[in-house]
Amino acid sequence: MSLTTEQTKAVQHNGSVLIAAGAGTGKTRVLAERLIQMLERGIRPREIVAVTFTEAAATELRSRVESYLATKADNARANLDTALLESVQLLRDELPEATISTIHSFAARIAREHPEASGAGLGFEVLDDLESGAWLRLQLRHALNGLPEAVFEHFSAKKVFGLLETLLYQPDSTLKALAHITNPSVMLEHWKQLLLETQAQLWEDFTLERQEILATLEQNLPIKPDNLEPFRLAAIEILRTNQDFWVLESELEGYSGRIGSSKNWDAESLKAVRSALSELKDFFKQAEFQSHLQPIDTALASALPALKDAYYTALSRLDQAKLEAARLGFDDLLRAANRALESQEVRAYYALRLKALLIDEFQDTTPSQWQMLRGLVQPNLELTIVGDEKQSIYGFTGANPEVFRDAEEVIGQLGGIRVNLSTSYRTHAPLVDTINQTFGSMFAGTQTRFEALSAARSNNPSQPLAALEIHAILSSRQTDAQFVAKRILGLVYQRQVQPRGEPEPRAAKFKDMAILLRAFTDLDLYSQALEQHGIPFVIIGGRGLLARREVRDCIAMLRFLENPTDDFNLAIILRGLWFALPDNALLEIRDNVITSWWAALAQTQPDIHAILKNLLLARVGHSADQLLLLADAATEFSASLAAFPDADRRLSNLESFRAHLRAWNLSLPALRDHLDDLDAIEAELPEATPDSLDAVTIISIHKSKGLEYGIVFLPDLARGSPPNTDSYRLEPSLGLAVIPDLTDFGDSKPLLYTLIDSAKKRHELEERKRLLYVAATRAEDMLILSGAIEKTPDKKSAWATLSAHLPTTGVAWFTPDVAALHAPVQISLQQRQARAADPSTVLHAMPERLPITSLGVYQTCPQRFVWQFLNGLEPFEYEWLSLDSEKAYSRASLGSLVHAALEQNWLETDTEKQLGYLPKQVQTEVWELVHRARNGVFTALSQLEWQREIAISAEYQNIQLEGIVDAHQNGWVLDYKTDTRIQPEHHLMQLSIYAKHLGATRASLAYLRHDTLHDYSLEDLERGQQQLLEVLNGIRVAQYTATPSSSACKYCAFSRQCKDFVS
Amino acid sequence: MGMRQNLSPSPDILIPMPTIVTSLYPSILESYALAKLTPKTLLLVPNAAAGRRLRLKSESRGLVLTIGQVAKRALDKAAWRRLEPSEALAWLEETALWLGNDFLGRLLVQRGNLEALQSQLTEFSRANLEPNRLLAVAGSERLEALALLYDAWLKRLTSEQVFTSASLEQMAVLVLEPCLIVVHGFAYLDAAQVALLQAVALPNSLLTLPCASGLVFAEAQRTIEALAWGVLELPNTPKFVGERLAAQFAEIPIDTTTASLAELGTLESECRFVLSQVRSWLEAGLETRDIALIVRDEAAYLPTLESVSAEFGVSLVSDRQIPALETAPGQWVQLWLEAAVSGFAYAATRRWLAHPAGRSCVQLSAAIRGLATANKSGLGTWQDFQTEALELLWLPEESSDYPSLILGGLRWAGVTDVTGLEPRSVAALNRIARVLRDMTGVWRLENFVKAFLERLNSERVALLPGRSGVRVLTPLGALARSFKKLIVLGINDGDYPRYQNQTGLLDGFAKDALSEHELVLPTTRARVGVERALFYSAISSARETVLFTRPMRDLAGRIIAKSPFLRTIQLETKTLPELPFQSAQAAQISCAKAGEYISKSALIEVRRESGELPDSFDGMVRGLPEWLDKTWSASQLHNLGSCRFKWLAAKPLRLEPLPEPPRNIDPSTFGNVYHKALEKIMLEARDKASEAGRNPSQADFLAELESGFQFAESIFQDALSGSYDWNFERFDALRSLEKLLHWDDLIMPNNSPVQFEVNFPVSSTETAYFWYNDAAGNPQKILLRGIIDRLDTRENGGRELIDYKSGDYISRVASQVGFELNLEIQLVLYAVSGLVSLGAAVFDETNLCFPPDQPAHRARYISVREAKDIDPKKEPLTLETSSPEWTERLTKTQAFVATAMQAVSSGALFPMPDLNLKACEYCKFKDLCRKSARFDLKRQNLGAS
Ligand code: SF4
Repeated sequence: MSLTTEQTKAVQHNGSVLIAAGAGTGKTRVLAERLIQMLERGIRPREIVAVTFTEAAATELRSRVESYLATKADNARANLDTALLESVQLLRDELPEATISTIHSFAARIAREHPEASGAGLGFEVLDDLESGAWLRLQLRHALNGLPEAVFEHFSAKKVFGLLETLLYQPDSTLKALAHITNPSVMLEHWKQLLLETQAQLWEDFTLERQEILATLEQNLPIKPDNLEPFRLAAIEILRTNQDFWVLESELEGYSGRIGSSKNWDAESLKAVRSALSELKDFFKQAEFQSHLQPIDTALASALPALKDAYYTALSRLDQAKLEAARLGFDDLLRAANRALESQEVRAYYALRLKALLIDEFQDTTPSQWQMLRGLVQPNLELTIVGDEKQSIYGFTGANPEVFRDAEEVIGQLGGIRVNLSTSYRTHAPLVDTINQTFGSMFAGTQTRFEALSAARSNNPSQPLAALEIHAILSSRQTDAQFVAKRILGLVYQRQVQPRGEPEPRAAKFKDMAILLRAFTDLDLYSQALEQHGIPFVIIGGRGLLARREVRDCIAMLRFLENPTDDFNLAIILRGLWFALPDNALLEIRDNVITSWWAALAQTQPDIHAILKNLLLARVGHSADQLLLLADAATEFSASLAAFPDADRRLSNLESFRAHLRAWNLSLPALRDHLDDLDAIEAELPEATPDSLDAVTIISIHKSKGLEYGIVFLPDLARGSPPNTDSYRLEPSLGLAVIPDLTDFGDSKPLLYTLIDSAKKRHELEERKRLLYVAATRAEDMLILSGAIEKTPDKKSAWATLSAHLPTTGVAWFTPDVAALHAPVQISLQQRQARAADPSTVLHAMPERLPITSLGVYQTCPQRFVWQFLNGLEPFEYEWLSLDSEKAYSRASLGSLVHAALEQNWLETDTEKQLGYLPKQVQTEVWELVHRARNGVFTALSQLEWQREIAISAEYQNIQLEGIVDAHQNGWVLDYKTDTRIQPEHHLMQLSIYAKHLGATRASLAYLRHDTLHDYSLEDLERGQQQLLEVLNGIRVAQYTATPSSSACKYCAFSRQCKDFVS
Repeated sequence: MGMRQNLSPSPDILIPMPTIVTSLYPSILESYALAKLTPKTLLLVPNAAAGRRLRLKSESRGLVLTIGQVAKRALDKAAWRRLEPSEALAWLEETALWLGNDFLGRLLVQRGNLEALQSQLTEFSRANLEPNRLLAVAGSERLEALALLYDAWLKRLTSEQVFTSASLEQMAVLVLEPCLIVVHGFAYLDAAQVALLQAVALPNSLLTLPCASGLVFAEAQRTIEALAWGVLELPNTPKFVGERLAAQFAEIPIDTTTASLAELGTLESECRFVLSQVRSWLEAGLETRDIALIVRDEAAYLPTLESVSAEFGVSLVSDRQIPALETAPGQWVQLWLEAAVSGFAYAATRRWLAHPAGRSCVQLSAAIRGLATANKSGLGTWQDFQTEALELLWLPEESSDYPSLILGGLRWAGVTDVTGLEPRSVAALNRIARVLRDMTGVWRLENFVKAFLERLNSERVALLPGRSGVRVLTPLGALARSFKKLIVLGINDGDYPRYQNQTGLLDGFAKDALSEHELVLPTTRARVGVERALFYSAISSARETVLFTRPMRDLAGRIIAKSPFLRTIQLETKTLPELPFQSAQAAQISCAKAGEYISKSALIEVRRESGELPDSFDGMVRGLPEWLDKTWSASQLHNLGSCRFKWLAAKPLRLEPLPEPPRNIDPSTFGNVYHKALEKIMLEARDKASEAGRNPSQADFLAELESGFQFAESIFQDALSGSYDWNFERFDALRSLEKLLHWDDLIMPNNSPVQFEVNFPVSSTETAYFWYNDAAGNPQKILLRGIIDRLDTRENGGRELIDYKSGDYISRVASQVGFELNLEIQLVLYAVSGLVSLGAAVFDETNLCFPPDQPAHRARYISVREAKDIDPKKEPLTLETSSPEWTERLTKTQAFVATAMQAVSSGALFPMPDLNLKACEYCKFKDLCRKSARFDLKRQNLGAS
């Protein structure tokens, strides 16, 4: 598909640009193409930074660029354009150098590139929110113990600890807010000032309304004199002459909505005047006009410095702990990067390096993130900002519209332009129209600029049915949830959808639908309703994986394996899907308990006990996920999950949990702690969402950002957001306000608290609209709004406010019959014949290469051979065999040292030099043996010209036998032995193989300790070959029974672990 | 791209020099190289396994070694010593500090920077940079510091005659003697290797390199240019399927040979698919050595492959090593030492003692119940629960004897026995012993542990130590090898090629600047070039089949694109592959999915979740009439009345999760302290006042505040030690108590407190009853016990029963199963049973009410924190039959007890919380009860409407 004019402009503009991209207008594509275009203009990948909101978006952006370049290379190749091909290939190779990442990874890069300036060092590990939350929780005690006393003179300990606990999780915004804390009298003065400014600002913001009110008041006159008239006239006078608003307030003091007689007015006028005056009066009812400094403010002002001090103390302890552990969370990374960027030098470093900075989803950038990114802006930088003010919904992270405004200014300073993308590729025209009307009206007169969208696709695939449905549920929220479930059943396979990229409309499936929830909506309510109706679904958000029953069962199993006397978790696995015992069996176990359930299980359920016992034995050498697999193989756990209607979901969750276990890679006790921590902080891990799953998605609106669904449900709309119950108010740009709780100030609140609170409320009111906008624009084909209206909504209720903005055409309104909604369908379970599956046999893996010496070991004892050569079990080192750590160096090592000395012709001094790291007696022993090898009976031998250390590989019956021949010359093979006993038979096979392989006719052993040279006869060597065949045959048929004997076992390095050991 | 230069010397000056032989195809190069071998030549190969194969093929007796081995042998021979990895780090740190460089000094205070410095030096060393030249061009403080360090490091290595694995080749050049070599199997050589070859190769030596024009061979071309030897091109005729595919990868138009691509959902399903393929090959008669699995990211793949392999009965081998600390004995010893350093703090000690690598030395659960809340340190606190004498595992603060203490401890705790049959563990135990051997001298515990663990972390053991099985290799490990079947796993963007975008001390800009001075460090481009070259060699090692597989999503469920390396290779895509071999489990799962087989567990669980009537797997147990004769408490009845299963689990089954050490004070501890303190304060005040012959006044109470509080504190000392800072938290508690004592209605006007914390029945020989009628109308009673917080005497001679609550929450039960929690019962139960058993009141058992002829008693709940009445209607409840409120509550409580006892005696103890699921909110039994989403249906089925 070709680009629209607006898209082309956004892509091709050579210079900074702000791209205001409405929902579904193809901004990812624009971003990618712009990036490509920059590369083609000659900017090198490493000179580019592109910051995205999520990891997924970064991956997508990178792979779009990569695949564009790849296609381009393919074309160049096809056209035999070698020059082009070469330049494209260069770009592809260097693409990894482009920073295309989340802002946190980019911050990590800055921190790491400037280890000192950032204070972060080079070796830190980045913790995601989940891990850093769990880690922080462990550190709280350390951070909060022994704080400076002063703060406790103003607040109760409960408040201090509770507050600090919360604020330590958000150091960035807290530090900004704490920066406003100065000396008490200055603060008091400042707050007063702030109040006046806010009042003036509000009055200013009220200008439009004021003008309308004035017009209304002027246009509507009474028929006869009336006691309402003085108010009207006074208001007109004041508004006209633009007097101080306080005058107006006092003029209206006596006004109430009932003043005025209908006899004196025509009905419409009376209504208009009353409502105009009420609006004026209401204006002054805002908290800011009701507040002033009180004793509580003085108390707060004097308490804050102590609080700040306490926070700094706790935070610096945490920071110290983080540095020591070299673990940084996302917030820490930003702080580190910003710290680094304070340095002129660091900024210069990036000024030299960066030519282009692209920021995606700009509307959700927080002030600190912007501070960091702004630090990189310089006149030669090409800044690209992509965002949509209307989709700014992350206010709780500190993101705010001012950041957007500031960025616009920066773009202006850089001589950049603004481009609006407004053609939606997501949604069809009829739905786009309704959305435009609704939100055009909703955003009118607010801070949020609204730009209407147009649609690339004209048809609603379900025409003539309306694309927007509104359902007023005159009952509880439970009923709303029931309704949603029913509606899903009504739509699936009956409605048409046309997902992006599909050529034709088709029937809607479960996976085309999503229920989008606001943060405060009870997710369980909706998931339960779907479950009751047998509708498959996945939840994105909430506790996800960790709350799923199939995963909880596994967690219980792991906890049991960590501590078999943990009765509680044992009971869970016994009762749950692992073993599904009836409750009476549990009672029976309980009746037998003397020490633990585990002990009692042996008597009451020996079979289960045996299975679990095997698992317990397997704990050493198996990771947690392997234990789960073993447990699964021993029970029918996953086969049981497979019998559920939503088997796919359960099985994939199980798989995903195992993958997490592997990624954590923890010992059982550490894993138990980790899982406890995750439970304690109610950590969220997303459920697996395999592509094969045809399931409805339940997702929070925040998480749905950037996603799209055929049919979107937005339920629970009749509820406004719950009040903020925090006992403090924090706003980075204003400060921190806490209610001092040691003195009773009645109901009064600090002025700063009120100011922050109402400012936030105003922001939230706006953000709620944007949230709805984001949610509504996720829909491709159909949008379904519903709300539970338990009592008649008043005109300020959430439902009424929403309804007021909805258009009258193109919308289908319903009031479903609540009574008909009850009684969900029963899911029936068909019982079928059980069929046992064949157990798979384990193939015995034949060793494919073996050291030649291993054959002798097999002869001595096949079990030892298995341990040493098939299982790869190392023999225990001598420390483990004896308490006597003085014992000399192990025999085997001694032999190899002697060989090395012989091969390299060491002199005594060489031996000392080479073996200096070994105990003296070992050195002496080595030298002694070397010496013997060269003298006495061996004198003649040592004068021959030996070829030493010859590696040989001989293949027998598909097994590769390998060994090193100590010495060979002229058809004579010689092996040195440092053994304490003379046992030539032992080495017969070995020497026979050597001889055969080297074509030698003579084979001898030099027993150095005994000054003995043993010669094998030719018959011996032939016998050696025979033995060899026998041994290989034994190995082939897996004949591995131990052949213990006191002499064999005495020298066996595995005797400690052998059950057949004889002494 | 630079064309290959033929560097043969001009004919007039014939200096014999070694030759580089090139061809597209490794098989051609191999035949050539083998043919050139004589007993005198040294064959140099990239890895030992390749060496073994070639040795077998060559039938020559010449030596086959890797470049590393040659270097190491030479250095050994010259009596140079190798630094162990951890030693090398310490050595580097020493060198850096000794330099006294400001930049380095600042860097070294931060953890982790040393490792980064080391890898930077490694990079210099591999690039064979000349330290002086580096010094000469160093412009920035950073580069200068690095150059100084590099220089000093090299100098020191040379003068002390030691080497590290990073500097192996660089050092070996100093001691190597020239010889005749054949170098085969490499895809390219780095600068250090080039330098080594230049130093050893005699004129007739030979290097083979797969090379042609094109991007894939950029690194080979660079190698050729760097060596500046003569070049001989061999003809290009592919022999194997892998070579044909490799040629396609190198964009050389060839033929229609294809590879398969299998795309699977997740990494685990990919591994399953691969192993099932392997298994079916093995069943068809292939040997394990015929098959190789190539993975780029061993850390991600090996654990999964290992986990899944058991199911397919396929054993795997790999060269990958893991830190000894990650094995069972490693973990155990680490947990032990960390516990020791923490002074055997509870959590650390628990973690250690629970680790399965040791014998169980303590009764773990009993110990946890006994110790968790107190959360104390010291091995001694575990004394009561130990089954073995733990003192033997105590470690002194300072000692010269740690090695033997640790060895002894490991043996004594049975770690050697428990783990001794597990190959990785034994290897790890040996590393532990080896490391300890070196750690002589007097140490402080903390330092010893730090040093020991650091060293142990750099000691490695094989992840899959078995010797036989299907090989899992990295592309690098596959160099110069040959297999019939090759499976390349994880063929995704990001892994092929692998992007290493971790810029450390020097980024691409800095490297570019250096390369202008001919100080060439590998750039990203070169790295990608290496990835290509290795990939080329890897696939060309396949003789018959190449199968590519990949997961389509990552761990977080994000979609991943396939590798750009596949672009030019002809592929048959298998989209949803059927497993070639089905394991027993997989077979069972597919039967279950098809509905052909349903396990017993599934039948039970599906039913439980369906909302049907509860059955014997869902809380319907044999009747428990014996429990009707037991003594009940209010909290038991609360359990029973909020969800019967909760009671079944807590009482008859006596299940209780193991406690966790508190992070801060548990709110219930505050409650306990308040209760105890109040009791003490009032008791003391009353006694003192009565000595003076009067009723206690507010002032009397306040006078006892501090001492009463201290008394309570001392009793709950352990639980309070969980506080962040009790010094401060105690003020909160004191303050609320003080507020309470100031409250005028704490003792109602004209009442006098007589008893505190009154247990009823007063002794075990006494009884306290609660009377009710069962469903058939027959009179029944249950035994009850409880503690009345305070009992006052009223002016009229009646009693006033007071129950303290910490906050303002009162437990309630559902008067009907599955309904709202709407019925308060405790006050009623206490009023009847308590007052009657204490002899303060009489109860009419026939009419089930207080007879009217006694003074009116009252009962109230007080919130201690908030100093107010919280039930009912914010004032005391008068216990008179004439009070409709009282009568209603009494009747309802009796009815509730009747139903509850009926449930107990019939064993109908199924999970069924209240309508709003309040009972479930803080319920511990969530995972046990199999709470279903279909309570509503169950409720209906139970006949509650
Ligand atoms: S979680 Fe709910 S249903 Fe389960 S036992 Fe607890 S209260 Fe009962």
